[in-house]
Amino acid sequence: MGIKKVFHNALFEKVSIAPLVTFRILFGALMFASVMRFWLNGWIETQFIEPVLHFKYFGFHWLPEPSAAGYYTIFILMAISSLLVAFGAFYRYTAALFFLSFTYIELIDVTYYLNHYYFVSLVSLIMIFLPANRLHSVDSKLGWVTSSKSVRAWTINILKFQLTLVYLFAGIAKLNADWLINAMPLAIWLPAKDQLPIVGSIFKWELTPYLFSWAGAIYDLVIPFFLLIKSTRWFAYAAVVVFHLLTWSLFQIGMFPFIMIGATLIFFSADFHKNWQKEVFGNIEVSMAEQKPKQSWISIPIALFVAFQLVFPLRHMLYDGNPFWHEQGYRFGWRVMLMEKAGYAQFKVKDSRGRTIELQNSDFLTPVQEKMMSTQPDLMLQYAKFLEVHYSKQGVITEGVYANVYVTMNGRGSRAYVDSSVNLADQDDSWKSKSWILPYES
Amino acid sequence: MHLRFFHIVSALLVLLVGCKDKPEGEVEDNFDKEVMLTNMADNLIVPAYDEWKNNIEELKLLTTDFKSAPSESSLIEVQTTFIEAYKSWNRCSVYEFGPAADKGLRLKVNIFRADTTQIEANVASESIEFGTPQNAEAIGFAAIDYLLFSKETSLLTDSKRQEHLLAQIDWVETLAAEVSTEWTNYQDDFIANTNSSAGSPLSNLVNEINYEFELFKNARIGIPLGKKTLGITQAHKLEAVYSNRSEDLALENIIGIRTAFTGGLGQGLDDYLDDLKATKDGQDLSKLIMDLFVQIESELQATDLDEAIKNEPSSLDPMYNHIEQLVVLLKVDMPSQLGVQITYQDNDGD
Repeated sequence: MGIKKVFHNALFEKVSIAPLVTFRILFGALMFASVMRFWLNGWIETQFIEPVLHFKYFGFHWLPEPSAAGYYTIFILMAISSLLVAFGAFYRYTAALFFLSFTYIELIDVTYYLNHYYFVSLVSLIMIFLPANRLHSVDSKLGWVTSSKSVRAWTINILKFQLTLVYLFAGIAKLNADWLINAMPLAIWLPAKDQLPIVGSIFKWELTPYLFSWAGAIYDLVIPFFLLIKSTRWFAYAAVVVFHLLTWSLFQIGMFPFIMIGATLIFFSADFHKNWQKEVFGNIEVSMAEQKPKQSWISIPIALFVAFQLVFPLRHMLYDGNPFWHEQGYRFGWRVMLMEKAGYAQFKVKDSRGRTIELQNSDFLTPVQEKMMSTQPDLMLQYAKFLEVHYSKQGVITEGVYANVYVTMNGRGSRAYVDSSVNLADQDDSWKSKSWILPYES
Repeated sequence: MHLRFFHIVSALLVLLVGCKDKPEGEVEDNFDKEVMLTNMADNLIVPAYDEWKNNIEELKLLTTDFKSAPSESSLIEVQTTFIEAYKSWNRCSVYEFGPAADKGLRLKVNIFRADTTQIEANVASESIEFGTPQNAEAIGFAAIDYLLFSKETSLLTDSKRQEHLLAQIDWVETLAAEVSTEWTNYQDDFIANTNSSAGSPLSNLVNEINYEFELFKNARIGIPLGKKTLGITQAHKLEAVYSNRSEDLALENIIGIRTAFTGGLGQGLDDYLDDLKATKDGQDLSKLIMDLFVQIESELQATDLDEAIKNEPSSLDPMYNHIEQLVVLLKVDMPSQLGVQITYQDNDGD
């Protein structure tokens, strides 16, 4: 089979819609659960409404912040649209609405950045373009869309690609000295869990973090391929379940384990999905008459998307130094649970006569915001600019904003993190390397 | 197919459980979180609250006596006992979790400010409603400090003022009695939960040590020293400004924080850090922290805060510098080594 044919089949071969239907239902349901969990935890208040300021994403400073009522409205829209996605009702519109509302909320404050939120945004973006409502959906039941038992292969393969990428990049990121040779940060995190029944005592052994580190790295690197190969699929899926349930019980990582356990079902065969759908929905006859002709042009946006996904996570290589330390090019790279990092940032506003005001971060930031700002340089810049404006408004003739920042990474003693002689309010965030971040000395 | 799945899962479980009895590779271990928490609760926290409560009860008795027969000598007795009660509060204020957090004790008992206009209004009206926003800065130890020590008013002759003083003390006494009782109920939960995650006793202890130490740094020293006001000193913002005992109270406070760290004579966070072999630049982290505590305490003992701030604020720079160093060790190094997060709310990690 020629390479051209392989690509053609991967994109346009007619395959069963069944895996896509499972994915749609599970994804919608899990998103609904996530939204409700967020709401019931009171996080709409504490993460969005209460903070005095929000840290913006680079390039998204223009994004308006909703009012309190606005936040609740958006979360209601998010909850409703996720449910309607699961039911396949007004699917294209509700998928788009979910993508927009979810991503909008994510873009409000970079403090809460999580790889899994980025994953959800990407998947929900992809889903807008997938005909996942062609079967076992409200839309198809009511004849709003033509029912179909088959879809083009790309609609399923693009999800497999995205999942593969998450694991692969997470695995590659673990191939560093701290993870493999020092078993960091697990050598810190696991002994803290020694109170757990049965497994707890194991976590005190010096060998355990090494076992977990290596197993984790190997797991991430090979699991997508074992999921792709039919003969190893059940074994691989068992590993997925065990791995994610283990991380869920050990760490505070919210819904992510369940999203992965649900999403990786996409790797299973059409028959696997058909079986349970037949049980639940019964046998549905679909006229095979009309099938949309293949749309060759679709290969272009897919190629662009794939290329972006392959390259963008690697952009940290363009920066000198340790990306775990300076975090430039760190986000959107599937670097998950990779370091124990904590910081303390003492900001000082200097006036034109050289006198200083020492900041108490809790006057302006929530604990989570302070924690994130204290280790992430782009947030420090935003904070410095905020402080300059705030104190200028108060009548202080500000000369500049400076910071003494100390950061510890993976158990090494705290180190000075930024050049305290640099006026941070004067620095602009950009793609360029931030020269005022002090180099990492191990 | 399904069978194979279960075989694998059970094989993994057997593997994990089976490892349990293997002694090799085990860290030499004489530290136990439960022992530490038991020590904290039994030997430190509960006795600290009891002492505070007893001091307040005595203060209330003496104040009642004073009110029935006001005299210079009985006033001095009340004042002395008040300082003792204030000190004992400053030794237990670090434990703001569990019952104390439920009540929001810090904001009720000691807010560092006395809104004298509001206090005078309350004295004049012969009534006070505790817990209203209007009275937020007219209650607790700062208000009592004003009532007992302000030179411009006469407590000896003004019965309304005496009545108000008693009401204030009575209110603090109620809080102290409640938190003391509630701790005896909370004690078992505190000891039984040896988690390190957000909201666990260990995490609460680490977080509140930090919160209290930042209060020490900012409210007790930094703000009066002008750190937040372009170096323009604010001696009137010192703790207990009317009795002028701020350095004594600050000393008790930092001793309280240090004790919460060391666990007194029993096991504490310093032992936990040693057990984890936590070091910084080749030195034991626990020792670095202890050295700074001792250093700051001795500097504080040699200081009259009010005088230093008014006459020679720069004389406090060395001590302030040590305080800044200690904040970094307590807030960055210690939690990171313990696997505890400095954040007061639950969150999704990544």
